[in-house]
Amino acid sequence: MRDGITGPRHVRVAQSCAAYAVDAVADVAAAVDAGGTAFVLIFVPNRLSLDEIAGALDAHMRDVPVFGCTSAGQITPDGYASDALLLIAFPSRWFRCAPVLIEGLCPFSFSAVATAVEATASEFQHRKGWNRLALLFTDGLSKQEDLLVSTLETLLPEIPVFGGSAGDGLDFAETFVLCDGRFHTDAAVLLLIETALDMQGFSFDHFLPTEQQLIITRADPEERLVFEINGAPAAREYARLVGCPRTALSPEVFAENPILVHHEGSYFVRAVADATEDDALSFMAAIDDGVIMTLGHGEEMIESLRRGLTRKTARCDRPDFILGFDCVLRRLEVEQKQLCRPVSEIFREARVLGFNTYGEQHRGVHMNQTFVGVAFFDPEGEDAR
Amino acid sequence: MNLIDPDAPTEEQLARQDRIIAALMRRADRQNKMNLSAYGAFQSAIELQAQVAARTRDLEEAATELEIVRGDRARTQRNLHDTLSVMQEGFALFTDGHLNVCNQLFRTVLPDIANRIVTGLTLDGYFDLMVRSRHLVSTDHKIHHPASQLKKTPDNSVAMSLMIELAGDIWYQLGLQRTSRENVVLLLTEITPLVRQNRSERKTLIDQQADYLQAVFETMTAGVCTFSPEGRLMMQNRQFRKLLGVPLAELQPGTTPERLLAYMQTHGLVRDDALLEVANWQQQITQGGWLRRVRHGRGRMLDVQVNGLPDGGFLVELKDVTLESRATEMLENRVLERTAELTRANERLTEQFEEKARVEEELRLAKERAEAAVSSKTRFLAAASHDLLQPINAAKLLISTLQEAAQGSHLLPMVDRLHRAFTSTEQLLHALLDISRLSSADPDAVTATEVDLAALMEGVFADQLPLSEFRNVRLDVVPCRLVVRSDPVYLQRSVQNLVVNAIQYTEAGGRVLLGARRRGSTVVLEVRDTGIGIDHADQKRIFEEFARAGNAGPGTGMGLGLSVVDRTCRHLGHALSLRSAPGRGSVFSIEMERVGNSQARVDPATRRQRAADTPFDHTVLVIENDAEVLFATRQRLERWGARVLGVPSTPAARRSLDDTGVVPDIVLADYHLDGDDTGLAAVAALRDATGLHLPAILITADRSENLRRMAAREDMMVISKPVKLSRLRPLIDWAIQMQKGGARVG
Repeated sequence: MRDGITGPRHVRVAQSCAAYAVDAVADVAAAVDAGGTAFVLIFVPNRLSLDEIAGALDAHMRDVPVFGCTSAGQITPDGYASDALLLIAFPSRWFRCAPVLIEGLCPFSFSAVATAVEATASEFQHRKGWNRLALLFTDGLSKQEDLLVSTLETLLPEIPVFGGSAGDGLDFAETFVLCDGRFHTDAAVLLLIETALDMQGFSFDHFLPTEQQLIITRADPEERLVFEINGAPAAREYARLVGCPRTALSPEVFAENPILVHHEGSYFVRAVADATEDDALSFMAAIDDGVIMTLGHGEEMIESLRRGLTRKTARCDRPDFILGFDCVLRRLEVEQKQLCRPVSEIFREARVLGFNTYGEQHRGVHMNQTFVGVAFFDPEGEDAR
Repeated sequence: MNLIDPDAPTEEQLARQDRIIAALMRRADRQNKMNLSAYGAFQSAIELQAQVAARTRDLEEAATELEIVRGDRARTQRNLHDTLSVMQEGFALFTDGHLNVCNQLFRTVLPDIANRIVTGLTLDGYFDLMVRSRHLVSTDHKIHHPASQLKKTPDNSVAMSLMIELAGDIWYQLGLQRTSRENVVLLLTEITPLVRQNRSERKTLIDQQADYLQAVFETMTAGVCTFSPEGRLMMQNRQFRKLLGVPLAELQPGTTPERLLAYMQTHGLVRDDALLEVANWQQQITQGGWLRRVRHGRGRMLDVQVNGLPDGGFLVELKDVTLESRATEMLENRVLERTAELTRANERLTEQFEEKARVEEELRLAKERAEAAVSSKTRFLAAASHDLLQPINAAKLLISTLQEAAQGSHLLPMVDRLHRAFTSTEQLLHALLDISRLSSADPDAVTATEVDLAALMEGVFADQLPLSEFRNVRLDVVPCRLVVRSDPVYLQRSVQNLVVNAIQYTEAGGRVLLGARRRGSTVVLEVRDTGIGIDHADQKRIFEEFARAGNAGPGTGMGLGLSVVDRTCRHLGHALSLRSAPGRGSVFSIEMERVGNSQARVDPATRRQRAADTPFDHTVLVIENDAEVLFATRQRLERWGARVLGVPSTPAARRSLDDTGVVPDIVLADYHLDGDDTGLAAVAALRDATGLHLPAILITADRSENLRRMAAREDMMVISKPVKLSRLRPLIDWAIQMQKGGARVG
């Protein structure tokens, strides 16, 4: 309600920067109308105790199902935040939902996933005139997103799946998903959602390919570890190619110099998470040896973001709100370039709500360094202003 | 691209290359297998995503296009409706034969059927409604199955156009046009103002034309009157009344020609029955008009012209031609007078012409008589000469024999003189014969053929060599290879006469030269001498008969030679000329047509000239009816060494052959034998009897070409009388030689 910008009309949003989990949950729970809420999404900063949150939710939410995950940052009605507990309440007037908890991701079992998803999907009755979509929250360190999301794409051909991998600040230690008020690791939560609102899914990034290609010559695909690039130790070769000393490699460098995979005119980012001591590179998305990759470089961020978030339908000039999954590496780059304020302004203006991920899923693909969003529009064409 | 660090050691670079290749190989290998790895899942997903993206793009494009099309269509529909409603014409579009859309005006043109014109109405249905409408008065032609008529019509052409009249003098034009395969447009255009205006204009025009016509009629200089098809008078003009002399009261519209004529008759206005042939008028009009000049009662002449009119009526036109006809009469009379004068002049001319013709005829007869007289004289002369030659021939042969017998005796000089006297006589007779021939009207007198001058000149030379030697004059001939067109006998005779003449008029020790040369397309033969020459005064006279130059010495002949030359040249068209100076000599020239490509014939007699000394061991059959000549010839031949059989006729020759069984080597036959018998017949009979192609020589005084040709056909040689012994012997030798050689058998 600042700067003349109104918030979304069809969801309720609350955030809390309270130091203690109990207080924070109490703060955000106040915004929830217990009777008219279909479900709630919560994105958790890594400073809060998960057990306390779970306990507090139990106390406050009672019958309202709560889903969500840990995050590497939040996108609140004020823009970027690092330690805010963000809550989005979806009213049952516009939304309904059926959750599937997928536990024991590693090792990945196609049949277990299929059984769980198909059972729920078949029971989820379709309501005439409503649109379907699915939201996926996955353990961001499970390294199983690629298999999982492509499996879901196969199982739910009619339903677009949008996902974000749970984060852990910049620690890359442990991530959790929240289902029915409980936190799970090595797990994923799939929410089958029907909405009376018009919706539009999208994704974008801000990278262009350079002419520099590279070949992974030795890797551990399971662990997303690359030992050699171009037959040389991976970290050192990467440093040589991006033109910085081996010792200077950092998440910021990785954020700015992603590695891309080319397919039929499209480029997909394979983000580097870290460089190990034995000169291996760990990736945040699936890799394989023998893969030819292209070094990317960043495009101007602000304008591409604004362009990417400009969404409209035949009836509406702008969305009521956008649910956004924004890669943590994007955020790192924004911070490094000191663009936090303008980016937050754009988010605010576009009414983006969401969190910073360790990976994004869209159209059956697990990606890095992208923004995946779902824009929701008023079905009557009313402007939310 | 810089895949491998160029700063690395070479071995390291190579090792890295190997690793790259190995990795790519592994990757390529895996690519062909089902891959359930995370990366495989990613790859499948992006593959799918690319496909979906493509589909989505297509779908979006299609949707956009559809939207545009829908918009266009809606707009078009809206525009159509707008356009139709503001149109000034009734408009209806029939699609597939059913009414698709029409405007308000179209509906309300015929108000009583307005509410029945609804979408889906067929074209034929509309016309049915229209025809039954109370408001429809008429159409300019029948409406007949418009729908089926349309089928025959190509696109974009008018299938039907008709005018319809509605109640209250309202007019519409109805146009039916096919605009495409399924669309037909029907247009109703109001043309009421047009029709009304047209109508009023036409009416005005008709009135104006009538006035105009009357005015033109009245001012015409000819008298004009028109009648209706029924023969009723319609219009006439002032001139018509004036010419006809009929008062206006009698020329009221409706009057018939009969009545008009009746009036004219009673008032004595008709002097010509032609005018009364009214019955014929009508008939003749249909055959293309009628024109007659008639005499009018008041002394006037009128040209009456009647022509048909398009409506079946007719127009009578009168022209006053009184003056014209008077002028014509006068002219005609004058022409008649002139014609009579001319006829008389012509008769006089004819009489004169006939008189002239009669005189001409008399002249012609006189000429014929004169010619006949000349001809008979010539014939007589020819016959006389011929008869005279016979005894002289015989005498010459005898003298010749006598000369040889008297060799060495005191009688020889006398015999020689006798010989010369006879030779002169013979020459004189020959000249007379020639002149008589050349004087006769006989076209056969001379015949121009190709003549080899070399042979001719050689012959003359040989003949006259003795004379020249006797007179001690040197005779030379310049050889040549020219052929001319001339008569061989008379040319030879002419040349000979000139040479003889030259020798005679040249004193001993002088020269005579005979030669010929080309001059363009002609040949000039010249006889030059170094003689006494001819006085200028005598140069023309010398060619006349019996003329001799004033300085001619005694014993030089009778002067007939040059006359022969002159006549020959005139007959043959040769140019004869003379250049002479007294005391220095003369040149006689004959210019003749040259024959270009002919080869000179070789005269066998000339060729065999020098064979006189060879033995003459032949059996010769001589056929000659003149006993004297036969005797003389026998004597001569026997002296040469021949065995001679002498007979006077063909039967005798046959008998001799039968009796003796001796086949002669050669036959010498006189042409003229007793009665109808001829040498030709004799030779033919002998050849027939022996079955051999006996060589034969015909001896004759007849020099006609006709005979020459006849002899040539029978393969006989001809030798002229009197026979020159110098030529006879080689000729006999040659003929026998030829026969033996078999060259001319057949």
